[in-house]
Amino acid sequence: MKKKIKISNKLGLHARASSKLVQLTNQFQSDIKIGKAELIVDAKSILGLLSLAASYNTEIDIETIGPDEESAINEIINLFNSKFGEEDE
Amino acid sequence: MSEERSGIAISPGFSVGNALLINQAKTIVEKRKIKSNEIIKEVNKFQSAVETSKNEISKMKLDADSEYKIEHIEILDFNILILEDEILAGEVIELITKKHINAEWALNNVLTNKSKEFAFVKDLYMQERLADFYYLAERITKNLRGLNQSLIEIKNNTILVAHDLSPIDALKYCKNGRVNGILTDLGGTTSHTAIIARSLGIPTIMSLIDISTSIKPGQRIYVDGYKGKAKWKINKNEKLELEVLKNGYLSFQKNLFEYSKLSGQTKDNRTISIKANIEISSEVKMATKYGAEGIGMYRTEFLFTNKEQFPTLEEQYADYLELFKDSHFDEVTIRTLDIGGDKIQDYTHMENNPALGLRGIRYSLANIDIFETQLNAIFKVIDRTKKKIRILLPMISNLDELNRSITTIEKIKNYYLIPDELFSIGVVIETPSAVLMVKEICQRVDFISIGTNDLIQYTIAADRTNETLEDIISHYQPSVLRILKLISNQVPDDTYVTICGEMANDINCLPLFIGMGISELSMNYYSIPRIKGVIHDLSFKDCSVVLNECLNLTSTSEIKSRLTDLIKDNMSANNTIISHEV
Repeated sequence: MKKKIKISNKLGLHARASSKLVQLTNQFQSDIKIGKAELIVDAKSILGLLSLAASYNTEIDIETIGPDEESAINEIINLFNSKFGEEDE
Repeated sequence: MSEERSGIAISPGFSVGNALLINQAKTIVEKRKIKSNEIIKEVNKFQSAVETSKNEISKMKLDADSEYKIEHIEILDFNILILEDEILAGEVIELITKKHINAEWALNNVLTNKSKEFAFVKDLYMQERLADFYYLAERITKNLRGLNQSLIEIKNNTILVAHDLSPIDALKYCKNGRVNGILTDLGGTTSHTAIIARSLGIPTIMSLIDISTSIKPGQRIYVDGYKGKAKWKINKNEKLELEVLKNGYLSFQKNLFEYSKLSGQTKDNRTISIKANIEISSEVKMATKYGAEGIGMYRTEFLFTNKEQFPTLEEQYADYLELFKDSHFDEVTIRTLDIGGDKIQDYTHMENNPALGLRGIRYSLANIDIFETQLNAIFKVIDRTKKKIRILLPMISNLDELNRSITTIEKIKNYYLIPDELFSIGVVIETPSAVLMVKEICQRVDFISIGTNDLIQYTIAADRTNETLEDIISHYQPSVLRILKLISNQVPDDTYVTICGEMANDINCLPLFIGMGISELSMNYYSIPRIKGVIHDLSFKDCSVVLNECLNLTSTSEIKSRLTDLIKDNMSANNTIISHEV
């Protein structure tokens, strides 16, 4: 499955947000990729995510392939939408 | 001859101890071909070294310091995730199996390639996080060699000296309270290690360049975490002085939190508000701990200069919101951008004399988009939090600049529904030109803040960063006292006057400010307890008398000794602050 999302937490995919994303993606069996322009990385890898250096408002592509691809992509989108718990909404 | 090095002051305090050199030699990695039948063994060795490293760090999560538990655990978790990373492990194992090379070399090779991938990341904050990654490589390498990392015994009064220190090592070595100081060649203000040093209250200096190769093990070193200076091979006279400082700091430290709880009230019940100057928004937590009654000045420069690009509206909004996190304060002061040609990487506009160039409000008015974005972020935060922000304008030198700034602020304010009581406008009085216009300035704004550092520099026409001018640029110069008096004479009764600048945290200058009836002093958070402790023992009556005497004195030394005498005569016997000051 493929989806696009804009990074809505102000700090972008920094250390803390990347940590949370990796902790989530590793709960799924599916392959999960995240990309920005031509750069695509493994969303289960903290190093991959950090090398993306995606900042606020960057549009990124998410792709999940595997048995639990649908729940994976939905939960990832939820995490992005929750702004990684960074802001006191 | 005594020796000295200066670096970045990371965590305040004054201490002495014996050097313990950590990781003195970077591990040298050797490339070795392995036989086909050794591959499995080598892969296992690598995996168990990673596992050991992970266990070492996981164990530390259990005894994380309670007060800073969340911060410390987040840093540890980040490191654990890097160790669990399959890209890292996968690439290393692939090199071992396909190229038949030893694990140490494979790891090193993968890391070198990774560092190239990260080379384009220009964000300073991000780079400091990535440093953690290299510390982990060292840790794995050591575990590959079976070197026990916990063997180092920390004795009492240790000063950790290292080329670079990982946050994990900092936590590990410092947890038993035996480390008196940390000195490193590399590192900066926002690194994980710096965050840990500050949270543990250990005097720390970083970016000392060559400290790790200049110091011998066991060397007795004095660490001045206020000024960012490390000294060793001290001669007898200097040693006496430093010991007095150290002992003063120790006894002061014991009373620190008692003093921090005091109100800024004199013996005869005059109150002066004591607030903190901060450079990073997360410092509000430390400011509260040290007894700040508010944020008297948030310098926003760091936010603007630690990245390639200026922060967006949203980034600034998120940062300013941080100031109100955990509701430490109901009101904060944000100084708008105060940078000049020296800080901006724009080589088309090199200036011969940045201190007298397009800086502060001049820069903001010339780059109105940047100014408006900052104001937008400020009002957005007020709108969201319903808390008060005082906007402080730096480097105003004439009324035209002030009028234009106010017009811009009003324009942005009108995008939001902000009640007047939730914001106020103030001007930093720091140019002699503004001093002469104080009356008119006060008619237009709610408060003024006397920025003593620049005001002194511009009054005396002496560069404050030029060490040869130290005697000339003293804030005890008669001309400095008189220009302060000139300001206070022009201020109408309803204008709130604050002092921000080094002079505010010199206890000898307190009588001057109390005597002039200044409303607020804003300073480094760690100076707050001692300033409160001194105010407590002074009276407005005595201060007014001494102020008038000083205004008639004509030399720096006379003024200083008159002020010092007043302080000494008034401090109660159990006040440990005096012994802390030279």
